[in-house]
Amino acid sequence: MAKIVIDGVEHEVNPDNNLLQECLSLGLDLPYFCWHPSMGSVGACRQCAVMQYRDADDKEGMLVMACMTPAADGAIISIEDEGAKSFRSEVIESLMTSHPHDCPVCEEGGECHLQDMTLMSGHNYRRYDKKKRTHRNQYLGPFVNHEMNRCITCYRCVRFYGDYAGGTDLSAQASHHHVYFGRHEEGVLESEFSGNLVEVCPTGVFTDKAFSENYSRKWDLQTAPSVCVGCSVGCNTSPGERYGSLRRTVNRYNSEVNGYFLCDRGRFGFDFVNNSDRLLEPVQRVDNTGELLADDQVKAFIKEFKADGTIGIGSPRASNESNFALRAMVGEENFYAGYSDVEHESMQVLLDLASDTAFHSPSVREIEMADAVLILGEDVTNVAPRIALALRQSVRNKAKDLADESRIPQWQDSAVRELAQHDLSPLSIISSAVSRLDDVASDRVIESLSVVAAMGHQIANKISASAPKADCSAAHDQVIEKIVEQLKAAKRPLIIAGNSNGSEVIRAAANIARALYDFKDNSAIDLCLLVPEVNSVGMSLMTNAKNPLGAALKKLHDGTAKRVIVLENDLYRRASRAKVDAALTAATKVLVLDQLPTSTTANADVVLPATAFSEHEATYINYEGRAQLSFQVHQCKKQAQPSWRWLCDAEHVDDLVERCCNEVPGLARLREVLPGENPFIAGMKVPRQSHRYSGRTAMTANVNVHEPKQREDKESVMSFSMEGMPAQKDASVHAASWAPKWNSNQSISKFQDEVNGELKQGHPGCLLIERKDSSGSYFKAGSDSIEPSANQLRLVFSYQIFGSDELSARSKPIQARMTDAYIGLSPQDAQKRDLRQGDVATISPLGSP
Amino acid sequence: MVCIRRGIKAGTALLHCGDGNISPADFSGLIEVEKSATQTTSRGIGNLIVSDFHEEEINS
Amino acid sequence: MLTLIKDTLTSQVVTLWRVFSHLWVKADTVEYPDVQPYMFPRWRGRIILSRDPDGEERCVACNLCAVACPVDCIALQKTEDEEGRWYPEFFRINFSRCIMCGFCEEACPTNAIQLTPDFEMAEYKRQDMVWEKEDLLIDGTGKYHDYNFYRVAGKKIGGKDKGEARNEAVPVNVRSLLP
Repeated sequence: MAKIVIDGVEHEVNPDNNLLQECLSLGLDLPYFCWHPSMGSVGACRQCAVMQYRDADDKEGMLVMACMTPAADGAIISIEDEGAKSFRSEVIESLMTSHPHDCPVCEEGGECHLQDMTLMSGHNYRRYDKKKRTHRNQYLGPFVNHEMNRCITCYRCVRFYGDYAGGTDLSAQASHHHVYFGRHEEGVLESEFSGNLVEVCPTGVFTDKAFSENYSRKWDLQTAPSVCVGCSVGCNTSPGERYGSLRRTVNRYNSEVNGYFLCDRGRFGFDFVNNSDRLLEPVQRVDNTGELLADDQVKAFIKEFKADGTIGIGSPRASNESNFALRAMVGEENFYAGYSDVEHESMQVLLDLASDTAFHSPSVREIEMADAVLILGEDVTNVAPRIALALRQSVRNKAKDLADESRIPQWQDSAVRELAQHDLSPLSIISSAVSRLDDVASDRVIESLSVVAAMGHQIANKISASAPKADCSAAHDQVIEKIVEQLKAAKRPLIIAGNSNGSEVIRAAANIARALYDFKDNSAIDLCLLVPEVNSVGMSLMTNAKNPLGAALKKLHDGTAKRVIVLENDLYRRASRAKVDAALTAATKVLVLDQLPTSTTANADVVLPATAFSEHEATYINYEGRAQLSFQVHQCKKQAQPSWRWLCDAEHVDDLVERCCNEVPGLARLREVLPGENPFIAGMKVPRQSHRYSGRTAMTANVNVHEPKQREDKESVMSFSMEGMPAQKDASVHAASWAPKWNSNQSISKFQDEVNGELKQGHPGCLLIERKDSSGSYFKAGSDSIEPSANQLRLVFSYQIFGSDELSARSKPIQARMTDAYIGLSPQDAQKRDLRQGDVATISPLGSP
Repeated sequence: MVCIRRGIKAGTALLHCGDGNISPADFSGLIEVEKSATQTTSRGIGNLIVSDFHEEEINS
Repeated sequence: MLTLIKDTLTSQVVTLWRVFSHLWVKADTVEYPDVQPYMFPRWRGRIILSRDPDGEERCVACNLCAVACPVDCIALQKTEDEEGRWYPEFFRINFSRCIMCGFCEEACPTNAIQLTPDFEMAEYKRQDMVWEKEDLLIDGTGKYHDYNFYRVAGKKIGGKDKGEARNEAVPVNVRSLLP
């Protein structure tokens, strides 16, 4: 800790950081543009100037840029000094000379960092009487709008897009005050993280295009802390609602998980909630037409299902509460897994590993700390995009080490990059096809899946001889040797695999991690095992290992079970059409709960409408076993209810969580994610609406001029109104970030313990899975039993960030980026079959489905 | 839809099921691929720039 | 004592005289509604939405009036035409809540929303006091004749390209290195 004096007051600061960061950590207001908490300093905008004095006798001082000056012990600075203040106001005046006077028609207005900083710096009138430079805009795809006139050339966009996220198609062009940020030509921004430009840009150059089509000001959005349901990472989000429709999603800071950034699936995939096909009424199928059901009829149906002979099929995309309610209703022995049997098998392996003390499941922040990574058989970008972004940061640890050696502070972004050039920490990928991370990979092996697993086993064997050997051709010995050395030398090695193509690679990955565990004298090794859906882990913790989906379908088919309840799941995606058809036809009654129509709802006798993620409170468990609470943002129109409410009599999510803790061994600590009673001031709820929420007495006046009573929320600690006390202490109920003078998302620094730290008294979720088992042993290397003949191809499932997730694929902006189903072939295989790029092909299964 | 990339191991076929009628559960292990007579596609694969194939297209 | 009596009497007589004298004075009240009072132009009465000098809707649906409104009686939704011009899809004022404070007019960056001297807004049914955009939008510029927001703002709309707003240079050619 260092002591510095700011405006005559002594503060304790961290000397490893710069002055700007420390001023913000202390809660002081100092304007800035180009500095970003996770991207460091470049000193481009000159906005954070402060006066620094040599010693107590120095009365003149000199101007320094706070973001480029270390918070060295004994420093004496002044933010309030007249010279510094006038310098800052002149800097912003010059930045604003060409700003286009269009705040009223700018989507950023009201949450604009530039507006905030202009006000803070005291510039209010344009004295410059020359003409404003103007720019033409570009079409950048369905996600992001471009309005270059508003640019103040802080360079944050290209630093994020290129340096941080590895995008190649956004660049700074032209020179002097003509500088332009755009693509080389109009077209869709390629990066799967392009949506973050909306939040990274301090003004309105890049704005959310989907939001603009249903625009609302930030202060008018009803928001609540939520969790993204797009994949298993569980990024924290703030969805906003207005006039009954969900309008947008923005990032919600969580120091352990997503930090400041989301992927585009998470940001633009919420729109399925507004889909016009949504199921909104209970319907019974009578002779191929739907018949609406009254309340008592629904109750009668549910009662019928409570009899013996009913089985339930859970869902990896439904909440813990809904899965638990179904399990409680049909009994644990009749509750079946809602994913394919292949996935069920690999999930069992994964759960075993999750309780093993030899491994540690790293959070996204911890993934960024890895200094040698091995990805085995998984396309991380498309399965868990936010983790791919974290991996891109992990390879920079080499640069940070080099900087430490040269005594360059790590926040000196440009200098650190200059120093390291293309020197990256090792990241090796062994898989069946190219991936988006190849540009930062030190080694890249493309092999068929069985060879990938064999290579994994081989690496494990080379690290520790107690690991079993595998049949592996000598062709890759050199690479294997290199990877082994890298993993051995690393301080914090990380192995990544996933279950998108069976469990063999997971076994191989576990062997490598265990070998490293042996090699490193029993310190737990980071093993990150990815699963595809938001609550895959939660559902699997509730499901008996002996209850895979196949068994359920068989039971229905042979008549052992008569009735089935399918929870938020399209079975046709999980098992072969023939088997599902047979099972559903044989069943006497099929009850399906879901949000959107699917092939399964089409074959149901009764369909009950379920609420979407933003319409109910729920808990989900992410890939690392972290349970997180997602609040209800808004009410569902019509009659959809949370699935658990259809199935059981529980009053409250809390009650179900409590029961869940008592009845499901793996979820015993789930209650820890619920907000306690203490943090609330005078027992008041936390408002979902901002204190500036407008139109309360006019929004529904066209229907009835007499305003309805504000709807009460009896279930959660939040209220559906402006009433209550905004979260100040318990950040787990921190929905939209706002602080006096800080209207944009940059206000998050006011809620952090320190910049980039935890939220004050924060709640980054609760790790549920306890590691107690230290008796684990190596897996045997599997052998490849199926050998393809001349015309046959080995099948590998390819995930797509836009399209593979069932729900986000029903979102309009995502649909604009989706592809058709495709079969990817190597040029040799294509030539053999006389296939060309873009041809339509038929595929036929050979193995046992 | 066929998508040809250099960065796929020969002998391996990548299947992305899209939002159409192909179910991943209908396939596993080995498959056969043939040219189809129909030419109906809705979206094409132009959007793949952002997906798993970060490599130039091969226009054979 | 005498003075007190004298003063009291004088005062009462004078008061009586004053009161009676008003019997012959012209009345201050007017026979409303047969006689209409003069209303000052800046009187804060019925709210209207005006058009710019080119006859287009001035309102750009920025939501500032709604957020300024102390009784929250304005609700609107932004939409956009094909060429980028913002306008309200609907614009609703609940006059049964409006307190005619004029904050909306002060907040309006385009001079679209204006208060007019018309105060005759009584209705028998409260529901009739909810006015939509069709009821609010007039055909003229209202009190402010010259201002056209889009001529000043640097956003491209139909009929006004980049670089054509007030004080704007022609768009930069980013491929050129010339100053």
